[in-house]
Amino acid sequence: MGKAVEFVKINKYFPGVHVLKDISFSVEEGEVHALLGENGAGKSTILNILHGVYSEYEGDVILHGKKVSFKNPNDAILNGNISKVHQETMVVEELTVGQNVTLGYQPKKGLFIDFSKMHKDVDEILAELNCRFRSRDIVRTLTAGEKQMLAIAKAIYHHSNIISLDEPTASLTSKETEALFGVIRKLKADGITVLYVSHHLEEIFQICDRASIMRDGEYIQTLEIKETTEDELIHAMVGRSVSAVASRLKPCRAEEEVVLKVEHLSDNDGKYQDVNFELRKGEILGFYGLVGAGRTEVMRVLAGADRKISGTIYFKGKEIRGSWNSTRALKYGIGMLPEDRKTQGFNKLDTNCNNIAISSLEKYMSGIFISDGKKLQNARHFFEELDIHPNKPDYLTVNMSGGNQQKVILAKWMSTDIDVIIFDEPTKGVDVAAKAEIYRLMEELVEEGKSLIVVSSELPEAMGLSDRLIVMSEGRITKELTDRAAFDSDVILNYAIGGN
Amino acid sequence: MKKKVLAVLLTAAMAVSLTACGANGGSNSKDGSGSSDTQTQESDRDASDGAENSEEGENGSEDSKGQGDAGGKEFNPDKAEDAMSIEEIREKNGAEVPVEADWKLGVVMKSLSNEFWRTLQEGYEAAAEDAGLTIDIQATTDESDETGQQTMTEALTTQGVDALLMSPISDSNLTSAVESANDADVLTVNVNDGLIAEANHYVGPNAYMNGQLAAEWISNKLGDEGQVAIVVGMAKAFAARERTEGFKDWIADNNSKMEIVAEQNADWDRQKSKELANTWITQYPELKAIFCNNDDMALGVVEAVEESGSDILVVGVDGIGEAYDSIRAGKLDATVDSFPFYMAQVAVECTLRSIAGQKLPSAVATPQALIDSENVDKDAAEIINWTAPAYTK
Amino acid sequence: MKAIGTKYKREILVFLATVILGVVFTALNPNFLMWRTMLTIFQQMVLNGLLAVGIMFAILTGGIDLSIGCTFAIVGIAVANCCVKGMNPFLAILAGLLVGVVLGMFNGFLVTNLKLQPFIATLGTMSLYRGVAYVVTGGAPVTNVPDSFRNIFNGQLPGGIRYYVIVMIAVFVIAHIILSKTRTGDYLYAVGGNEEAAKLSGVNVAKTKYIAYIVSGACTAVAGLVMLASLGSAEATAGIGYETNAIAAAAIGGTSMAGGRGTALGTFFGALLLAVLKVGMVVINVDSFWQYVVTGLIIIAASYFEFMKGDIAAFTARHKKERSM
Repeated sequence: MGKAVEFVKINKYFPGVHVLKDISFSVEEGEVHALLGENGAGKSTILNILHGVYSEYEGDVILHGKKVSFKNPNDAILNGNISKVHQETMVVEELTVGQNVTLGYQPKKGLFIDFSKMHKDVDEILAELNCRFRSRDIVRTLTAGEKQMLAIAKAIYHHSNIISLDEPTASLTSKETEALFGVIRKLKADGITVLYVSHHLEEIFQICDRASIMRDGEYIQTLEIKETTEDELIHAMVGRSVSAVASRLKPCRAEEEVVLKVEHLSDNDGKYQDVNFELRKGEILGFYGLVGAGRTEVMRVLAGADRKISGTIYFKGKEIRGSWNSTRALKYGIGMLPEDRKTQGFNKLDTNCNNIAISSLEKYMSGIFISDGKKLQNARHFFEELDIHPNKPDYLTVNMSGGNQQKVILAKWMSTDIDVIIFDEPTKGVDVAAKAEIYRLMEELVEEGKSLIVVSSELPEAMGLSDRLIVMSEGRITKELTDRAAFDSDVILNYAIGGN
Repeated sequence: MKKKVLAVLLTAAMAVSLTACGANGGSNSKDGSGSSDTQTQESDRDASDGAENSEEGENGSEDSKGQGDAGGKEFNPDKAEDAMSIEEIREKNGAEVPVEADWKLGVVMKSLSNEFWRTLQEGYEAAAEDAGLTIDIQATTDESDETGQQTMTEALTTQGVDALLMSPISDSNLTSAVESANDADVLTVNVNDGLIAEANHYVGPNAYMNGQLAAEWISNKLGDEGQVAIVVGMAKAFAARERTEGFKDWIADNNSKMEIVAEQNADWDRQKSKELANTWITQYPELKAIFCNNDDMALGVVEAVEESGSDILVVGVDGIGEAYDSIRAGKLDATVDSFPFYMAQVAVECTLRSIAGQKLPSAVATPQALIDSENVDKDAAEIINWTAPAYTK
Repeated sequence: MKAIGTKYKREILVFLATVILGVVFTALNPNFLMWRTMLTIFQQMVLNGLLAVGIMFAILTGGIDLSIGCTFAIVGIAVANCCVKGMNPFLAILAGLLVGVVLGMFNGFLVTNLKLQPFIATLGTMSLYRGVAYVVTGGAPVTNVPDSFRNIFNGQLPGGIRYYVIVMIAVFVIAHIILSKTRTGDYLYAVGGNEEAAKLSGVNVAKTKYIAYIVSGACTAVAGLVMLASLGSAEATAGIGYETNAIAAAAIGGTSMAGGRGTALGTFFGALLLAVLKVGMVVINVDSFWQYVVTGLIIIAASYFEFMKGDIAAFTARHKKERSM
């Protein structure tokens, strides 16, 4: 077999940054090739070069032995037979599957779109991919996983023989992930080359043949998956040994005192019903459940982001009365790190310094005016304490990596004197090294007497961190597990899918 | 950084080059139009005695020869060959105005937030009462609701009025409504501005004459020399253009030694016209007079003149109440009043005559007069020599 | 110095553009450089400046306040009536400010409590307030405002500087302090930059938006007072279309229509640029029709810099690299 893709001495510069340094490696035809590295290692950049998003770079890209240079992604799809399935798939919700797959290249009959041919062609592809939906379905009705399939169908429609998948499982359920893997194996069998980018190492071991590893814009090595271990991969990615597994290094700190108590919390449309639980001082309380179990909705109410419909919240034994909003939540001492950092976590127009200061402005007053100096001092302190990289409080938060963004948001809450911190999917989109650091910080927080709620869809994370674990399914609490030593993944999964 | 500065420079250069050619193109286009040998006749008239409309009519018809070579279908009531004043019509068709009780008139006007249109409305109501007729008056809420006005007009046609008296917002927005009214045998009368070429009759003041009266008055006051400037309203309707043109033509045709140093738009807005005048006063220390397309803008200019302490003459058009007050207070110098109250009466009279089958000209010029401190307290009817129509049932 | 340079890059750029425009006008007509012309420019930027700094607060939160032209008219009418009826002029000023605050508050109510889109909400109040102005006055202007009121704003300092120019500068200074030195300022930027994140940070989003619309109403009220003092009369048709110029000034000054970005200084220079343009075009006697064309081009060009910034940065970075190699 020949080489599907060869990168030869690729260099790429952004304003002031040398993002790719002499990258050279190759991908065999018909293999599933993983691209690994921490956030900012340059994986996305090299993919963007391959797919014609960036047309200016140094070095050569060789496809099937021929040097290519694409002007734009469309050029790559049409002339290079190479397609990319995006992290958040881009679709037009109100059109049919067929229209989305063929968008821009619809079969025509005279002046008009030949709908019957379009749907016939697309249905053939969908059948081949074992998809349950059909070409005439409206995309709005598809699940996230099905939209991913749609994107793959689109690649096949364009006769792509190289397909890149960038974090394809990020928004998929485990069932959908299984289905996706089935499709990837099918593509491989058909001789199509797949480039696979993911943070989930266990996926790499399930589906990939080889893995190329990048770090800080440099190519490190390519490993045969069969001959390597998870530790070896992580070591190559991070440059040192780090445990990717969530675990507690320190003993449980939970005290008797109940900080937060929730009774009969329900909303009107059944997203969560009759939720009851307690949170103790110094405790890490885990919330596990599948996507749509209602965990985030409950947490948003606790943080005052959404209106409380019915039920009672007690804070340190006192019932909270009156209208509940985020400003009051902050006064009481409850804060939340949202799951979707980019759209909810911080002001993308503002600097780290200001994003850290926004919840505790009263601390930085001198007289009736805010002192920028005091803000900066505070930010510096937390950049040191949380080891935030790069150590630049005046950088825009949006330009930091996922893990460091998470630390900035955490610094915001640590600048206040709140007692309860809610982490919603704390390590989503965070690379291995930063993950470990965030786990360590959580332990430090409970040591200081804070109480944490950790919402996670990753079972190892939920099990590894929690002192106590609450399982939710379809808006209800189905189980509360109090004995950390007796956490059992099969039992927990069973409760999460609603069984007993 | 260098790039940005360069970009800024380029933009500025582009803007300036555009303005430069704009300035030339703009002023050239107005020259050479409207020459006529009738102007001496006009200048003989004593404006403060009130407009003698018979002359205006003649002037109009002779003037139109000058326009003849322009050809085209463009309708200009100020230059209509058969234009007549109401006195002439009464003379020709007899003083009696035939009325039948079941005749129904529909009126479509612009924004009643403007005093001019409110006065016109009062005139319609007074005429309807005198004649013993029903009249359905409708007006848009602002001066930009062109389609709303069209809808009103169409609704009146369907309700089966005998005649429509319309003052359209623009020269074009009622065109199709008028065509369907004509098809339905509804008599269509265009009152004041804008213009509807398709209407059966036009009734309104000679806007060209507004400007001529103002120019003549200023010339008398200044001894026919010195710098003058014109504040125009954005020309959407015919009257605004004609007023300015009448003013400029008078100066050109009479070999006046007055010099028009500036002409700018102030969007009919009092604040904007004040700011404009402010700039002029600093730029043209020798400025002697400012003519404004309407009173609202003139009143803004008056404030700027007062602030500067200079003695620049300010003349407006319309004759709104506030302008009268300002003239009495010695601030505004003059305004050209078109007497909307009487304009409405003339319009109703002509409409009734036309319904009854009398042959009327395509344009009827309504009374107008220049008001200054000498005649500001005189009765309007006296200024224009008004005799009420004699309705017979 | 360098810090100021980067922090206020946009503002400096707009100021430079203004200076260049001034140089061009002077070249075409040396009269432009007269002290009296400078005074005229400052006088003529007052109304638009006050309206622009007000509307900027609404825009900062990711909203817009289309009703300012109408609030402007109502304040003028209200204060004119108070003055004509013999109220103490300073009390009348307070009353006028109160009217502006209340009208702004109603906009805030629509946007935060009823959760209407700001564009639609203020489009509604735009018509509503204009209607109120017509109803109150019956369409007739309120005239004969006494000099005791007018002199408060129209009075002159040595050199011919009118008091209302000082008033405008004071308003800009206060706006600058609010935005850069107080918690409210930080909250305004936070809400505009990312409302959801601000909410999750415990920022009182509703209160912040109320403040924005109240400030917008209050600044508009000050503009209404200046207009009344300057004209000596108020009418229901005042201020029609003024919101577009205010938006233009804010946008030229670097205010992002999406919210979260903009400064008082930038808006000041934006209004100054438009005033220079307006006076300059009259001074060199540009045809009225062309003035619209030029103003439009300048607005587009000024806004385009926002987008060009990234490209230019990338270009210079590449350039530097090539040279170093």
